[in-house]
Amino acid sequence: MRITGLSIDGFGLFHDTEIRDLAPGLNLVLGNNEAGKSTAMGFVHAILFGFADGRSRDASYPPLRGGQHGGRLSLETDLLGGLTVERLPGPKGGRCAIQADGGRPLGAADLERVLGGVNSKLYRTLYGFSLSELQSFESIASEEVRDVIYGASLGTGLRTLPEARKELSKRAEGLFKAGGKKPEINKLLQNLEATRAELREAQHGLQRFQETNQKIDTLDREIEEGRAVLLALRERAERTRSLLAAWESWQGLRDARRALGELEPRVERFPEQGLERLTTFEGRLKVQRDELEQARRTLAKQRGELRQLVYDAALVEHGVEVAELLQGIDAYDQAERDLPTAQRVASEKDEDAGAVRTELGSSWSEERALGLDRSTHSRESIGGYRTRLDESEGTEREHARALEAAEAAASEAKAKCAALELALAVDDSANLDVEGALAQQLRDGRATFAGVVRDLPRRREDRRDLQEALHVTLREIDPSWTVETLDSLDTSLQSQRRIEDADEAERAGSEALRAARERRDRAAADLRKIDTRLDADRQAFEDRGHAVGESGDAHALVERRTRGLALRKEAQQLTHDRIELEALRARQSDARRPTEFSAETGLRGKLAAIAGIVVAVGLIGGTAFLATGETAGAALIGVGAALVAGLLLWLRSSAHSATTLSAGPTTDLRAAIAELEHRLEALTKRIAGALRDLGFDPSLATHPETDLVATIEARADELADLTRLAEGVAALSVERLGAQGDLEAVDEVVVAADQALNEQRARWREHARSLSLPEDTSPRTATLVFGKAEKARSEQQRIQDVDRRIETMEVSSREFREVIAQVPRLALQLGLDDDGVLVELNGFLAEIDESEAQRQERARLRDQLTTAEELAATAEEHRAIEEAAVEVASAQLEQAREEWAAWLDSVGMEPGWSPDTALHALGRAARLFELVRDRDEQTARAEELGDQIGRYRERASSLFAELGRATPTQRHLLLEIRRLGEERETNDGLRSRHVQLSKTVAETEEQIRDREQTIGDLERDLAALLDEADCRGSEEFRTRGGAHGERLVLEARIEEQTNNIRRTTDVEDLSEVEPELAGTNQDKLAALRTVLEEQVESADREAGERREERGKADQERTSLHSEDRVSKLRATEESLREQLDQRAREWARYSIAEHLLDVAKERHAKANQPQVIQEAGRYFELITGGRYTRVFAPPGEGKIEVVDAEGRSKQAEDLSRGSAEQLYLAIRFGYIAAQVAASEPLPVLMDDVLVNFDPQRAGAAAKAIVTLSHERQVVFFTCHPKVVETFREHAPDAALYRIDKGQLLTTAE
Amino acid sequence: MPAVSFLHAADLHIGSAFRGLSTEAPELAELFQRSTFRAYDNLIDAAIEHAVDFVLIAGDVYDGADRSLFAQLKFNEGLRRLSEGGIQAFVVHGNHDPLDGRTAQTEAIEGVKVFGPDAETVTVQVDGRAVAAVSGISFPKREVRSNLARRLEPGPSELFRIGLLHANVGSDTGHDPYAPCEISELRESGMSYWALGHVHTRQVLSEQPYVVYPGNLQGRSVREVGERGCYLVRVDEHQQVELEFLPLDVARWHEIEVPIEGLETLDALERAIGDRIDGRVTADDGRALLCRIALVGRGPLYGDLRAPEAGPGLLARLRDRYRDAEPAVWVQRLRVACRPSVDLAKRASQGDLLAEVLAVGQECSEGGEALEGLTDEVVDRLWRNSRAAKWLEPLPPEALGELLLEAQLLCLDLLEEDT
Repeated sequence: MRITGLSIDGFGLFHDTEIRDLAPGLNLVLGNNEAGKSTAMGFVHAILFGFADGRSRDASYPPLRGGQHGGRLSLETDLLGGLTVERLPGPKGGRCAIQADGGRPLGAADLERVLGGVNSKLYRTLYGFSLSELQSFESIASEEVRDVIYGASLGTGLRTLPEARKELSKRAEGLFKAGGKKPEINKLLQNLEATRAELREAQHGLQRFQETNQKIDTLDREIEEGRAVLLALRERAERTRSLLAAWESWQGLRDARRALGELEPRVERFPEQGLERLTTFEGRLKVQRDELEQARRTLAKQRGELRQLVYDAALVEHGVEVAELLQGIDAYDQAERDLPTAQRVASEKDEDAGAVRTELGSSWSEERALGLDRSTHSRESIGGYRTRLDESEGTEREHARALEAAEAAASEAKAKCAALELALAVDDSANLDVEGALAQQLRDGRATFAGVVRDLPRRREDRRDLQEALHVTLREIDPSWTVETLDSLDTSLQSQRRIEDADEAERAGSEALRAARERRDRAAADLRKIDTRLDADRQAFEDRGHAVGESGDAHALVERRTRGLALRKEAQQLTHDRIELEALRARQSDARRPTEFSAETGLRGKLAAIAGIVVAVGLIGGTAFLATGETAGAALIGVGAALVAGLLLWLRSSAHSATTLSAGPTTDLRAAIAELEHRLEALTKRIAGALRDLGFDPSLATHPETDLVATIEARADELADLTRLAEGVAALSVERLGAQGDLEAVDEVVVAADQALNEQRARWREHARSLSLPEDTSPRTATLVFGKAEKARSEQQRIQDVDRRIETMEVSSREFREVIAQVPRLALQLGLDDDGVLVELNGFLAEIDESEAQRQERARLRDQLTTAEELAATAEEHRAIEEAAVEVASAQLEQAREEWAAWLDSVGMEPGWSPDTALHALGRAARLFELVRDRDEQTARAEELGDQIGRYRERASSLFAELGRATPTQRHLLLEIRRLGEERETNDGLRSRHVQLSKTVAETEEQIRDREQTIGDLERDLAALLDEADCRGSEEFRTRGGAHGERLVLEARIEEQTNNIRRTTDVEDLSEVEPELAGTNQDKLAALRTVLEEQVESADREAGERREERGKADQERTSLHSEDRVSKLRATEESLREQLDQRAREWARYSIAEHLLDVAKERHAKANQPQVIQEAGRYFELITGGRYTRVFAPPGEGKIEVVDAEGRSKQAEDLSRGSAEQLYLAIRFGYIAAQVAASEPLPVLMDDVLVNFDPQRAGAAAKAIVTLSHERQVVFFTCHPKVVETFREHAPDAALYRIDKGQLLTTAE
Repeated sequence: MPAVSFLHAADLHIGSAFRGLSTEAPELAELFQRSTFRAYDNLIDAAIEHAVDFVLIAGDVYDGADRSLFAQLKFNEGLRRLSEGGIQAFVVHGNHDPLDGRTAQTEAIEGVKVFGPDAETVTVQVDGRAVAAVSGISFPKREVRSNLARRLEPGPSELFRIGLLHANVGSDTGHDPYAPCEISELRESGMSYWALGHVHTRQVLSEQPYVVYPGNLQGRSVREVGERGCYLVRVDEHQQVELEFLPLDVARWHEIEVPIEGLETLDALERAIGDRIDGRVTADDGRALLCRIALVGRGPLYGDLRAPEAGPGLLARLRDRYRDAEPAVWVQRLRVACRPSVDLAKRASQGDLLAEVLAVGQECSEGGEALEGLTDEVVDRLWRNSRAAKWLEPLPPEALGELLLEAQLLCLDLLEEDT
């Protein structure tokens, strides 16, 4: 399958974009970032597999620049020929329409067949991928990579196997994991262990049962004993407590007994409660007497008041009548006011009634008007008549209108019929009649024929162009080349690879030779440079006056310099000695003069000398430092130190000599001078010798004026320079030797490379001969030839395609002409060329069409006429019906009017009244009725009010008469009546008071009588009491009563205390406790009680504890007795074991399945070393330029390994990022190559997958892709012009497109 | 000799655990757990109801040497009821309740004879007349490998002579070979009736004389299916024996196979299973039912049933269906053992991975190295695991074969979507 064109309506930033004639082989698409490369890839994917929906991770690319989402892909397939796949928005990935080139619709299954079962995901992984997919392959777990690779040969889907394993593993691990805690089996095991432990513990129940039984027995015994002790203790404590409680009573008893014994006088007889009774009697007598006196005073006062009360009895007697009159005052007053109003209203109503009567008409009396039937029934009758009359009139009007309309319609229909008849009267023209089927055949075939007419010349043109192109291509290869030569050329992949290998070898050989030559040139140049430098150095040496050969020995120079510098010290010594000698000589001459020489002056001179020496030495050191550089620094320090030491020695010897001098100065001085002179001589001689050695004038040593040190220094510097020069020359000589060696070695390499290249070329020439290529053809040229040959073959192929198409077209043209020949009129024109025939055919078909159109128009008119006639008949019928209906309606109206007149007559209304008038008359009659009723009511009321007023006046007159008072005038009547009412109220009050007071007087009199009686009784009782105690008076009675009372109190107390003691101590007989009480005291008892209570408490506590313990033991025994824990735990254990058994089997099932899968996969993989891997290896070798020769998937290890040229293997994950990507690309190509046999080759779309490759590998990968494109269409998207160039190197004719701003352009555009 | 009647029971295993009862339904577990006690109550009731003269109990009264106190008290309570009803009891102990096990101190009960570790013969008096002689001996410890039957001497020949013993007759009983003896010895022993215990499935080994295993009173696991109880033995004046089996169990175990042929929906399958269970309950006189269901055969439901959750789901629904059933029903396990309609042998020849899987499976099922590899690498990972080994019983070969087949089907399900 290949994509021949895409037409994008709206997809991402593409809108209305079309590209045609995509090349069958390699297509390069160049575009910047975001130009739409991924979108274009996405478009192809979307059209083939559907739009991404919301759940998909793919981008959905909604149209950003308008247009309908989607578009078309034109495909050329082996299976179904040319076809178009169009996808537009719709459910489930969009509506997909697939059509074969002839227009035949195809189904989704056809597309799937073409795609050879490749699904969306597989396509994305293998056929349409970008760098991210390429890299994502890398991130797939190795196991899965392997399964993908083996997937093709396992007979399972791409994912099924890993998913199956994962599922099984998940299920098994959910059940059991060694060392795990959470899986079900692990949990069950934990539970089992815990249950077993609990069970062991529970099985000790029996022993505990027996122990508990024994414990309970012991406790029972102890509890019984404790109970007895406690009882005794409690009794004692209780008795002590009761004695203590009785102690107060005991004290009281003793006191009472003593007081009784001491009491005086002894009164034996005395009335019971005598003293109280005496006091009561005396008190009551006094009260009665006081109250009697008070009552008598009150009576006198009441009688006086009664006498003064007087009132009007007659008025009080007629109180009821007065009250009635007072009540009637308001009604009377109201009646007087209402009377005139009632009279006025009555007269008004009468007037209104008159007016209403007049309205009805002069002939209408009140009686006649009121005689009208005003009932609802009557009104309904009128309403009925009115409705009927209205309806009848309406019906009549309606029918009249309908009649009018029907008449109009009928006349219109007639007119239309006439017009149609007129139109049809025009003459039928004759029409062309061709058999319908034939006409249809002509029409159907015309489009195809027209296509042929249009396309055939173009195709022939194409063919010519292609033929020309083929010739050009062949000529480009070699003028002598023909199609036959092309056919005989072996362009197989193997042959190509051989050429590629030769090319590679040629390139590598040339490269090696070139590199070797370069190295040789570099080596020669180096040698030359060394020679130049050597010459210069020698020249410099010679310029210094030395022959290189003579003083070239740097070592000797160094030696001399060292010796020279050593001389410097001696020269310094020489200078120093000379100065000293001078000094000594000066002293000698001084000593010969008669001048005192003191040690002091000597010392001063010495100091001056030291200073001089120090300065000199400093100068020497400085000079040396300047001359020798850094080494001299150290020397200077050494020299300084030596000088200081020398100075000190010299000072000592000087002091000594001074002393010596003072002893015998002249002799000593002379000796010193002699010694010094001797030393100087030796030194001078030595220095002179040395100077000679150094090539200096020895006499210099004897010239004291010469700066010997400086001279030596200068000479040493000169020697150092020379040394450096000599060393440089020596080093250069060594370097030169090396360079010369290098040059010779490189020369050999050059010769070897040259030889290898020549051998390679010889081999190639031989191969070229075998390929019938000219001997001088280079492999590169051969590759180009191959490329061209491929191109030529593809052109040849296309020519054949075009030929086939031309043939098809011609056949179809011939067939169609046969059809045309069946039409006589056209048969005559068959001599014309295709164009002419087509023009005639078009004309003929146009005529047929026109004739057909006319025929159809007449038929249509005829149909219309029939319809119009039917309509006219219907309209006439309708008119007649309406006419009849009008007559009926008029008759009904007339009848209704007659009946109405009769009804009016029957109810006594005026004939000729309309129903509305009749209703109005009834309304007025009703009004009249109301007015007459109101008038009569008011008249009656006025009469009643008059009566009421008369009656009231009459009653007032008679009352006044009875009271003997003058009847007041009508004007003052009400005033007088009210006054009478007030008077009556006053007299009523006076009478009530009189009655009340009389009653009170009677009561007071009764009280006085009662009191007198009571006082008598009391005086009698008092006398009796005194008699009872044999006393003559109250005083005596009181004395005797007091003594008697005291005795009684004491006796009662004794009784009470005795009872108290008995109750408290709970004894019947006091003698049981009396001795004990008498023998102790309160404190002793209290102490005893405390002790006993403590003992009781303690015993009680102990008993409680035992009881509690017993309870617990009992409970335990009961629980042990009833507890069936062992059974329960056993049950739990059994249940857990059962669950374990089930889960274990389940686990075994999953694990066995996993095992089976693993073993099967292993075996299967071993037996079917996948072709994918083999093919991948081939591509990987190609891409890595032979660095890696093989890809290998060791069975059962779930890895991918690569093997390099040296046979070393490496894991895929150890490869660099670039190499890994190359491997994954190779695996894809391997997969694609392995799939070739399975289905038709699908195009491969790649988006910039080479960016991480180095240029060489990118070149090799491009070459591999170009090779791939020989077998299938490849579309390669990139944003790097360089990548395009790389491809062009291998496929100069590859089609190139640009993609920019949502447009796909061929480079020509 | 006057006529005499007695009950012969054995292997009461009072208080023993109910094997395979899930803790998922604690209330049911409680009910079934009580079943050995209730079956024992039924025994006592039967003795009283049939007014037998005595009851023989031929060992394994309790389950486990560490007999629970509760079980012992329960046992004594029953004996006391017999005693109060004037019914004597003769008891020997077996390997599950040997004499050296823990024993609660209990008062001696009148009319109850528990035989000791030495053979002994006692005469049974009914209404003051000797009617039978019972010779018995108890297991002194759990493992008695010697022939105890030989130690029992029959009583006087005018009495009905009974040998009461817990023993394994023959060599292939499927039970531990404790106190082994041969049927021929028993026949020639001079006893009139051998009242045996130990083998849990009831069987009459001989009728001249009678050598009888009454089986246990209550089935306790799926291995003890069907009715359980004791024998009512009536002996007439002429020592003619008549045996009547009295089912005393309160719950019964069954294995029920349900073929899926012709069942189109899971609902239909559920109904079919329900019908089978209900039928069983009716047949069992309304006893509580414990069962294992196996779905077998081929049918359209195969695909649905192979889904990992299908079996557990169906089991859960069934349990739910019988949640509050009266009598109680517990579906202990549901095994999907039905087969796909695809021909595995044919499928194994297709040359792809699945075919390889089936071939490997076939190889394993034939034994040899492949099976050893499977056992070593797979099964032993769990069965030899230090913690699991002590709880798991070794997989019998047929179970392994079954698992192997199921594993192959599992692979079939996973690798082929349309089976």
